[in-house]
Amino acid sequence: MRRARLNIAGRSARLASATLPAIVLAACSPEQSALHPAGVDATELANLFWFMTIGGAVVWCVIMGAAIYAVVGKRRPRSERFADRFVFFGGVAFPTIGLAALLVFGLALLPDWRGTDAPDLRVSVVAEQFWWRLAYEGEDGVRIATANEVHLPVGATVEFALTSTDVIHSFWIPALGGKMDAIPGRTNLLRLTPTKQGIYRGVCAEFCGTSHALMAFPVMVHEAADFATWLAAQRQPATASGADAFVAAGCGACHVVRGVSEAGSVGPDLTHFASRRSIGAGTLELTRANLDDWLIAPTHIKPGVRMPSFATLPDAERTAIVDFLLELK
Amino acid sequence: MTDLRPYVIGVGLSLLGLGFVPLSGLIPSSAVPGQPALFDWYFNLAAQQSITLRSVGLTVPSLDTPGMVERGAGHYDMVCADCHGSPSAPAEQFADNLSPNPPLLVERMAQWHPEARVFATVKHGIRRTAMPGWPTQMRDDEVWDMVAFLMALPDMEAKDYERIVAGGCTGCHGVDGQGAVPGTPRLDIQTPGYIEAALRAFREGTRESGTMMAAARTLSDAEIEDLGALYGRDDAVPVGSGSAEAATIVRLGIPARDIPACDSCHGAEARPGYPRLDGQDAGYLQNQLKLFKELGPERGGPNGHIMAEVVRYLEEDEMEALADFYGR
Repeated sequence: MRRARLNIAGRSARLASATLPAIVLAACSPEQSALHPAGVDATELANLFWFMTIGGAVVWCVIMGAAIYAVVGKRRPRSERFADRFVFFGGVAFPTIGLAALLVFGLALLPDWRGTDAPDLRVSVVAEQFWWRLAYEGEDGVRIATANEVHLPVGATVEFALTSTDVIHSFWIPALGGKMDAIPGRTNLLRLTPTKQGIYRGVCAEFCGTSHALMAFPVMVHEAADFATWLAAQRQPATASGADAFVAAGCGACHVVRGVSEAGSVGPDLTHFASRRSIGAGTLELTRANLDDWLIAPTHIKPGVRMPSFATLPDAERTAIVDFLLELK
Repeated sequence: MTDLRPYVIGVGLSLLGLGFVPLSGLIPSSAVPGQPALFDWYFNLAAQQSITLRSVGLTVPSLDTPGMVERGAGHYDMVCADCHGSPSAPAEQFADNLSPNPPLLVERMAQWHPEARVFATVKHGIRRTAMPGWPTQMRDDEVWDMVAFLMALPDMEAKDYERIVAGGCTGCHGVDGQGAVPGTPRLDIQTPGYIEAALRAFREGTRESGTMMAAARTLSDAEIEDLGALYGRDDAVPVGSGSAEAATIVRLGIPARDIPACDSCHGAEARPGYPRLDGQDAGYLQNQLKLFKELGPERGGPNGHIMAEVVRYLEEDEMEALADFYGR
């Protein structure tokens, strides 16, 4: 137990030293950046951003130029006709045309809310404090449950059905498109079309409690064939052996591992836990040491998490649980 | 300003004087009987009033629930009887040398009322006397057990008292650990490891129970192991039939309300460190569920923090149904 505590302290320090520069450099990292678009919506949003920024800069330069000219320019009397025209074109015509153009450009970017055409893939997302419950809809309508990691086929239009069980969250993958709130008691639809393979990062974009900042998820965009392979693998029940310690410690009370323990769906589905990159919804990288720390002191790593500590388990039992979890590919 | 000078000086001198009174050594601190009655009267009055103030607004629960008197009696005999005497024995000799003198409750309880004041006295104790507060401030249910016992004390025959308190652990938990008094847990269904961990938690004060903290205080590691081996027989007791609602929670939980299935940790496949519930005393189970919800992880025990999460969204009627399902 003492060893475990020290471990955590060291880890927090390492985590802090690792995250600080990461925050500073976040703007440069394409993994979670709306300025490095990898989806249809994100591209349009990025275009809108650049168009508005450059357009705004031009307008600003013209106005500041006029102001400077008015102060330092030669004082020369102007005709009344010139003044009338200057006010009409500069003060009425230009703003009207400019704003109308922006409105047309902006309206054209609005997504097709009617959603008349069927999407290529449907994913149900339930946001909970502080993780993401996901279910993919297979071709035959079967729901394939997973959590905290989104996989998408490149080029496909994916419809996310978003809801929440506790407070308002917001689902945002900056590299792929805009954000959408997940609101208790209603379902919001969000369509995204990734255009570039890669690994991105999604986040909760609406403050939802103590661990709001630790409610993230990796997003993998694959080739269609690779995605199909992944989805087929997720659909299979778990094949790992040695579930005894997991079952005996009562992990199954909250976690489903299909084929092993299917009663508890309070927490994230762990059927293919080891195929994921992170622990605790994007909080820690999935490694043996991190997983052991997570079982010992989850609330130290992620304040407010509902997962209780299993520090009182004998080391051998906890190691057996870690072994089992790491086998859940 | 000058008008106030005599008053300011007067108050200053009085405060100085008050400070000098204890410095003089004239306030008697001797516990030998026969000291001037003035200070006893002074502090006694303060205590009476303080108890009255603490008892204002208390809701007195029903005190004739079966088991309450017996549970209170066990603790009384273990902790209180030395000073306050009991129906079967007078107080210890040293109690005579205490000042103020501890009242002999067999005689005095008949004049003491109402229940709320008795509760406030037992829970908080009395400063400047030998009367301690209850070992934990979180277990009002245990204090009410004691109040129920004290209320029954004046009419209690010596042989009845002796029958109730006889036998140490067995008085409440039964000769074979099968439970003797309603509201106390049976032990024979548990594993030795569970019983040892519980006793250690009580001994170290990490699980809140005035009665059990007092009982386990003096146990050595070897004795704890012996008790674990003696009572923790892991006996299987068939459960009766509970309500369908309870059966659903036991097998499947209520995932929509984040309530996991009891079976995951208390079923046949659970590790030996978790308590077995089949055949447990229903009143005890219901009380423990209530404590987990009220106290959260503060309730203590090696795995109390896990149960605190589990019961968070459990309603009172569901607790009752579950206690009924497992209990006999």
